[in-house]
Amino acid sequence: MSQPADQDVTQLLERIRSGDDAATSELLGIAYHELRALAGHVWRDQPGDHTLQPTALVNEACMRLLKTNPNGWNDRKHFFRVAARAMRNLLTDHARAKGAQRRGGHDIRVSIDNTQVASLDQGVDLVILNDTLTKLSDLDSRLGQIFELRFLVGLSVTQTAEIIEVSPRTIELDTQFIRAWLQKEMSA
Amino acid sequence: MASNMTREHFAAIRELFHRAFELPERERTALLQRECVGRDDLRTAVEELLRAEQTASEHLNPDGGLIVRCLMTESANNRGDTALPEFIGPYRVRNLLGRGGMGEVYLAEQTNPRRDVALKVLHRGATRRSLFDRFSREIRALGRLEHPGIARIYEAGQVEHSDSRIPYFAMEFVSGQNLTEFARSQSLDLPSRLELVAKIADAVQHAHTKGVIHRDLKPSNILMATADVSKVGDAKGSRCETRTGFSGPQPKILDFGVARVLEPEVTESAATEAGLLIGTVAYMSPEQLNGDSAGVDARADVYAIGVILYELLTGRLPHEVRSKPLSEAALIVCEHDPAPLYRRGQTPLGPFDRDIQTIVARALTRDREQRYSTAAALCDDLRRYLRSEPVLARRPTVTYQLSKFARRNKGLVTGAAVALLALVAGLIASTVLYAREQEAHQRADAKERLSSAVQTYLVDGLLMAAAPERMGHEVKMLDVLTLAADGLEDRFADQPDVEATIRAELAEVLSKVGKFEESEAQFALAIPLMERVFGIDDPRTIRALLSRSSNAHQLKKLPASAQTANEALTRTRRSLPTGSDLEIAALQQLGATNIAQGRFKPAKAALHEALDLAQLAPDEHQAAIIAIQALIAVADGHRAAGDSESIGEIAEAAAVTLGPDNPTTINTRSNLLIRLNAAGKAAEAVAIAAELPASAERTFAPGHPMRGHVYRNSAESYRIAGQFEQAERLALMANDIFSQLQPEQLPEQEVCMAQMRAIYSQWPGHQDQLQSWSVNSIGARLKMALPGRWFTVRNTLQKVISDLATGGIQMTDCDLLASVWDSRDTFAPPGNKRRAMFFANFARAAAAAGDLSHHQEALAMAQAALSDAEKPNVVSRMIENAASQR
Repeated sequence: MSQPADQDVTQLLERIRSGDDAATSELLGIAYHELRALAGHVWRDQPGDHTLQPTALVNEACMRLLKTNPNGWNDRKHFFRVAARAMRNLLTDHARAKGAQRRGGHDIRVSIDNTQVASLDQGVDLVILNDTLTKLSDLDSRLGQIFELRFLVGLSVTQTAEIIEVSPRTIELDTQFIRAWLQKEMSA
Repeated sequence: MASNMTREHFAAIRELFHRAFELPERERTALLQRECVGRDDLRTAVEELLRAEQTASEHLNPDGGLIVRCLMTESANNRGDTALPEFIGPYRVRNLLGRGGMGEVYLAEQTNPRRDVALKVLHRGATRRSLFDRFSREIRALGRLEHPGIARIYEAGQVEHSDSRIPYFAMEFVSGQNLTEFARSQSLDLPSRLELVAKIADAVQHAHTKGVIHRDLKPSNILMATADVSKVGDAKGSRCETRTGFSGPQPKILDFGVARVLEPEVTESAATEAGLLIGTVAYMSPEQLNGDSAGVDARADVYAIGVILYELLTGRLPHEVRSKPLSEAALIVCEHDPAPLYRRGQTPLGPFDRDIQTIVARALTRDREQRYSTAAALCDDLRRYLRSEPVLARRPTVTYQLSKFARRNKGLVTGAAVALLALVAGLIASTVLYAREQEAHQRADAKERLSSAVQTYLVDGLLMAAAPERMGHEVKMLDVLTLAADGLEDRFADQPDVEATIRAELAEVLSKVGKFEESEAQFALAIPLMERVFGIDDPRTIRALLSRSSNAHQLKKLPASAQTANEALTRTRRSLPTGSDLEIAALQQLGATNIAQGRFKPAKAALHEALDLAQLAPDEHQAAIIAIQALIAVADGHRAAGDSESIGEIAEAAAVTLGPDNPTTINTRSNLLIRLNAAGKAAEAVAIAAELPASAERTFAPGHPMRGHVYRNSAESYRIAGQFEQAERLALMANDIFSQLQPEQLPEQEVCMAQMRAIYSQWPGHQDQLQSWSVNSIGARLKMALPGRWFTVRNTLQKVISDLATGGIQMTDCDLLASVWDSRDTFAPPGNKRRAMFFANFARAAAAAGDLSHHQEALAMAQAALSDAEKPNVVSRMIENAASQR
């Protein structure tokens, strides 16, 4: 992974603020690689059931990429939006790999006979989840964004409200709606 | 329906869902009926969603868990094939026990000796240096540890595998359940659970003493070696037996994979410590959650044991953080105390008594300074509780109380805080000293008793009593210290050693804050007590004697001071080896007192002897040497007043070695100012005067005479330099201090007055101030004049007269004369040979002030006393003179 110069990221954020969409996708690329690299680093180094929350991951990425002005909340807000989208891309990639595996490869399951390691990938089918999310974002891009920030990055209601710029109560209701909708669509 | 849903329709569903969701369930149907007339599809969609919301999988939680699982599977899949190898090194692999970020754990069989082992293997994809480092760190950590509560390492090695070497290690295989499962399945009672946690704490303490901090203690990392498994083992169980009769299975701590190994030669690589969160949120201490991974120490493990204890007792976590995003979890853990146990009393084990509550609270204190400082301390308290002994955590620590105290008294006069801190520090120091003493005599019980008595006194007696609800918000220094002295006798009636310790300390503090009289009163009580309890020649007693001598010096009771210092010196020579700290201090005090008495020769003899002794061990006595040299310079300097060189050098040395705020430095610099002022070296003097008062304020309590000296000498430097505003400010501050002190300080006060007059007489345009200070000065002198010391009065009266005669002042304060008149028989009793002269002088002063009736009366009294006068002729002329003044 090539480390972008601090200047680049700050400039990108400048450009995003002035409405330059190309800058968003550039930053998205940077954030995506940074997150992947960080995540890989963390998960290779930490035993599986140690909690490293994605919020910490995004924060870490933000700190690394925004060394020049890590505390400017405006920058951080923009960065979080982009990073949340990058998280989403991680999810998508993952689901794709999973789908390919399902079609051609074989699913590896490891039997684990005590609690020393948490079991993997339980409860949610990522391929279906990913499809459902794509549909959700199409129908309502704000809900898609809320999903990314809350469900993927793990931001709190308040933090999400600040980034999306709506009231916390709306975020709460939307979160409930998203849960319900996902549950319904995925069990269909 | 979803596939061809329009955005408008979706928005309508969402909107209605919001509205329905906010209503109680029974009102939802009505709303939907109302809103969905003719739109059954909308109604069905919303109803389905409301149902789905209730059954939504817990995996669909907004906590970031989804992406975590993605990352985990990704990284698991990247590990390549998972077929079990038949052998790893000499071990036959039987089963995969689990897999973590670093590698796999297998159950394997060793042939010689024949036993089951847990085999931990670094996973094959691992090429990163940091992983190897980490793996070998775990091996080193385990290699250091040998404790029944920690799974033991047997052997470490490497296997060849397609061009690479894969490290592994074999360790004790523990087959039991984990801690919480075990406690639940066995329905353990309270003592058994506490004993389990004590055993864990004991094991963790072992790791800590070996420089290993686990950092990820949690029930799933602690497995129970049940009785039948420990057949390999031994009589270990009996060691753990307690009076409760429980000697159950042994918990074994596993997984030192993220342990911090303190190795002086190895600094942890930045990569593993780059602010990343290590551990498991629910068991992480606030300092870990704050991201301070570098600063995490043994107390983080203590916190984790606290969480485990809490969970074992209540079945719940102290903070429900499992489903919360990290940011929220961190906020909860760092900002809130856990729900106290009594509020979770609805458990099979509760309600819990107060001791248990305090132990848990102390282990889980957010501020790690207040936590049990070691796992051993927690273990001890648990065992103490199990033996029904009082637990040490019962009260918050003194420092905690102090900080609470400070918080309660935001408007607290700083003096009180200073005094309290000094008192507490002193008490702690002397408790430690005493404890050491007792240890030497193998009287551990006495030590325990003293330290707990002192602690109780501090916390209950002092800090609690000074609570604002009892004393109001403005707690004054003296109030606090008086409070400290109050009731000492009753409280410690049967413990004279405690009373003596506290009194001596109190006396020390009172002296430090400038309450010399009060200090002397405490010394007078403490020292006889110490002599009785500790012995006449005990170092503690001698130390108190020296402090008393220094205090008497401050009180200007110089003969008493010298006598006490001499007594202390005799005792050190009788009981202590030559050159002891106390001997040097006694000689130094003797020197200082002699200087104050103007006896320079014996002063220098004592000081040179002290210097010789101190220089036998110059490193130990660095501060003493400088202080002694400073005193010698003063003793020498009285003859060569102009010589400021040597004292300047010493002041410089003191500042460099002891720091600018050290009392010796301040004292020496203050003396240097006197020399510089006398020599008229204004520039040099002002440079010092610009900083010295601030130093004195940092070091000496408000009202301390040393502050007064510093202010006055600095004011003098400014006066000589012609900087009158600065001079005035400081001189007023000096005057404030000295005018509040005891009558013994009268000479100091007179010097202050003289200084004020000097400043105003040189300062153009300050004629009024000059006059008022002249009157002040006279008033002060008359008021301070002690009965029988009528020279003062006579001098004062003459001063009044001369000031009046030269027209310098208008005497308006007739009260002064009246008050002298009222005490006339005290100043000049009937029959005294100076009585006539006194009245003659008084008559002159009264005439000058226009007080004719007193003038007449005084003349008559003078005539009547003339027959007793020493020199009737002279006095007779004085009377005539006075009579003609009218």
